[in-house]
Amino acid sequence: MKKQVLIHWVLGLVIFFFTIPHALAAEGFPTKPLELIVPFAAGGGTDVMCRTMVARAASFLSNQPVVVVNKTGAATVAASRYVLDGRNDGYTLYSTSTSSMMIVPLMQKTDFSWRDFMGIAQVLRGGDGFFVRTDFPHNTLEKFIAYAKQNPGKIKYTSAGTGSTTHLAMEGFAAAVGMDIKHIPTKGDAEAVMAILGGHVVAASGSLTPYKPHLESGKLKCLAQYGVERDKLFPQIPTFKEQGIDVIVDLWRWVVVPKGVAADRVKILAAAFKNILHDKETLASLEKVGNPVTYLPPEEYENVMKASEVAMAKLLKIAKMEGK
Amino acid sequence: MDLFTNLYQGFQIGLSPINLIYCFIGVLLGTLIGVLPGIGPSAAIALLLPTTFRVSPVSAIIMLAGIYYGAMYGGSTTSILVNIPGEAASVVTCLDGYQMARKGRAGPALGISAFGSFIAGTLSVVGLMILAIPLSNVALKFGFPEYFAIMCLGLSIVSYLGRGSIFKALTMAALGVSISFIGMDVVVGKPRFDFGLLVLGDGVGLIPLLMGLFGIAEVLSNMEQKSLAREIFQAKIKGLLPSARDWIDSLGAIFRGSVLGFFLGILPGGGAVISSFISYAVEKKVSKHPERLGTGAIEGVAGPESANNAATGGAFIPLFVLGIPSNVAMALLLGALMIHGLQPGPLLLKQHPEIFWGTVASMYLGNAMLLVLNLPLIGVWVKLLRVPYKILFPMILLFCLIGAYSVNNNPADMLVMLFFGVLGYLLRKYGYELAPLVLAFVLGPQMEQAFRQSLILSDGSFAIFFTRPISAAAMGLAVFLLITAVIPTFRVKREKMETA
Repeated sequence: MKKQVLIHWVLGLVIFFFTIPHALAAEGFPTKPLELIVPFAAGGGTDVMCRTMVARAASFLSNQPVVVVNKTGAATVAASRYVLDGRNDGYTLYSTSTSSMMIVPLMQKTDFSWRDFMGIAQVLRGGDGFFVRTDFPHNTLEKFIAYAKQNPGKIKYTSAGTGSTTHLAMEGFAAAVGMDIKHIPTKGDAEAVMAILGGHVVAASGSLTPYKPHLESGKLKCLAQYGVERDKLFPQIPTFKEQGIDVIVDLWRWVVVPKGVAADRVKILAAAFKNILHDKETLASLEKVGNPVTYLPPEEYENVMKASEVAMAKLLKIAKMEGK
Repeated sequence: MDLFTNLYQGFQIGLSPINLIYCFIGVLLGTLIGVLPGIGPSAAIALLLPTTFRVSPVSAIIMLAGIYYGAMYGGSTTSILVNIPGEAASVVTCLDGYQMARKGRAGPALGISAFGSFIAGTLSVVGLMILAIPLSNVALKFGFPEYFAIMCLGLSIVSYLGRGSIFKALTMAALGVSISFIGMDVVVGKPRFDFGLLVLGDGVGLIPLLMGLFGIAEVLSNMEQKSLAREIFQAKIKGLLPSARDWIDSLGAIFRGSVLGFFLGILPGGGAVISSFISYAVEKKVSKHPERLGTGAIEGVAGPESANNAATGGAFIPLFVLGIPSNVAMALLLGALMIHGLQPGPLLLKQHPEIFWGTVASMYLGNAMLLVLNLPLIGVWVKLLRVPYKILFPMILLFCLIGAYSVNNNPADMLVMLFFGVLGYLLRKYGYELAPLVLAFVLGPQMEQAFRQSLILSDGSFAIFFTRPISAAAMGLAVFLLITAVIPTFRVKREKMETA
């Protein structure tokens, strides 16, 4: 009987001592795996990009891996809420983009905004454009605008979804040059690509990657990109700005944490992501999946967000989609 | 001949030891995932994606594709054994498959499901080889009005799904469509009918709905029977494999299902689901004894199971030829190819034909492996049914709860499932069929989207559905089917009134 009690004590003490290192681990952040929350379904553009980005993250984070967790639902609001309502101990990271951080809160007048988060690193910027069929007779920007002005309401274009950057950019474009074109929303780029290839619409607005094979095969032509400068992978396509149209829609992606994470942990995360996003292998992999990196440090977060908020609010107003 | 040299090259790639191993891992995992409700092939593919980074692109696609069509095989197992569909494409299998199991014929049901899937899978691979490019052109001709018309056609066959009153079936379809309205509106982009609940913000999840209506409801109605009399299963299992008679009955169904599934699988969005439902309706229409369907007729299992497997072959066509994924799993495969620096599309076939042909050859091999894997397992599954129900049903409940949670890691989904469990129980009690509800629920969002997109395209004119040839044909057929299904009911009523 006594021997059993002794064994139990020894076991208990051994287990206790093994857990102490974890309890006292505040200094050695991070001491357990981190979560990167992605508000979209597995396999989508965002998801693939995030998984590629964190594949080698462990070596920069004290050998703790970053695990991608998909939290889909309610157009990214569910994921945003999950991050904000969770612990802000620095172990929960959030992958956001113009839609989840800027457009959705403005459109739906949510009770949170970009001010409730702190930026860790910008991953990339840019990547949407406006395409027409090569066999459409008005397939340059000037001819297109002229035709649209002469035939109001006749041209229909698809986008990647209502309220997306691709939709808002076109509405802004239409307002800037004074033409009347009609928007047919689809659920994602895949449907839109099929519609334009099948000739059901003549124009489409979408992210560059899904349209790339058809640009190469010559079936489609890209008339303009939306970013403030030309995307690294598509240097031959001029931007709206270069062609005299004052519409800039930047699709950016930032890794953020909720406000309230300790300053020293934010510093560690920022340094780690700076290294990840300058790591040669990671950069090469990300380029392969069509996401070339445009890194910005956390100090730039506020500037980027403020500029984006002004631009998006303006476009939402033009598209008559501001929140009630 | 170009086709054969390509195929020969493809087999050389497919039969290499490393690719055989990847194929095996893929189909094994796929089968397991198909059996487990909740985790679908998409989640599995997503989780395994990083492991394929360092592997050659062909091997990566072989394994991931194996998971996808393996899951179709596995999904029918729970449908037959415990009336819980592994995914929407297996719902129809529950109708007759489960009835066969209750009569002690689970073995033949599982067997014909495996064989039918094998034949259908092989036929669809042949179709993929020969018809990929011409069919992709056909797929492109389907614009927004055509999609709407096909969905209408799919919905009109709802009338063939039930054994009871047509009007009850139509009521269930209406309910299904109404439930599908909950969630994010596609055109305007704002949530609706969500009662302010975040969990409903994206609509009712398909998995919680299926688990609830079929799994929980089944358990509830079984518990209502005082004697928990499931000795039916204890009765002698009459043979584990389909008999010669079964084969004669099923062969036609298998071929019809394969053709249907393959062609419908090409259309993006719900190809496997809609083809399984249409196959069931077709079987009912061509059968000499339509009233047998729903009571445990083997054609009711063979047809739909073949259809949903053939649809997997068809689903690869838009991906490989146009670079357009027709569902989530295909989108993941697209991601996998892109990680390797290859973008599927018209140029990929020209520049890297080995990817396409290697995958095609591997699909033949995968189908064969699946057959070999699944047949011996039938004996194991059938033994599971001998477990006394009072031990089985808590396990089923646990199974369902985990399945519902695992979709979004959201506990609220479990509550949604329980709600539908109670609803399903009540509906069953009063003689309402659930299959029409599921079909309408799956088709609803796509129908609404296509409808509204078509109207924007036509500037508000309804004529667009009837002036375009494909769309007009489909709409006409839909109306015809509905009318012919409803007329007999009126005739019977009139006769009753006249003789009264």
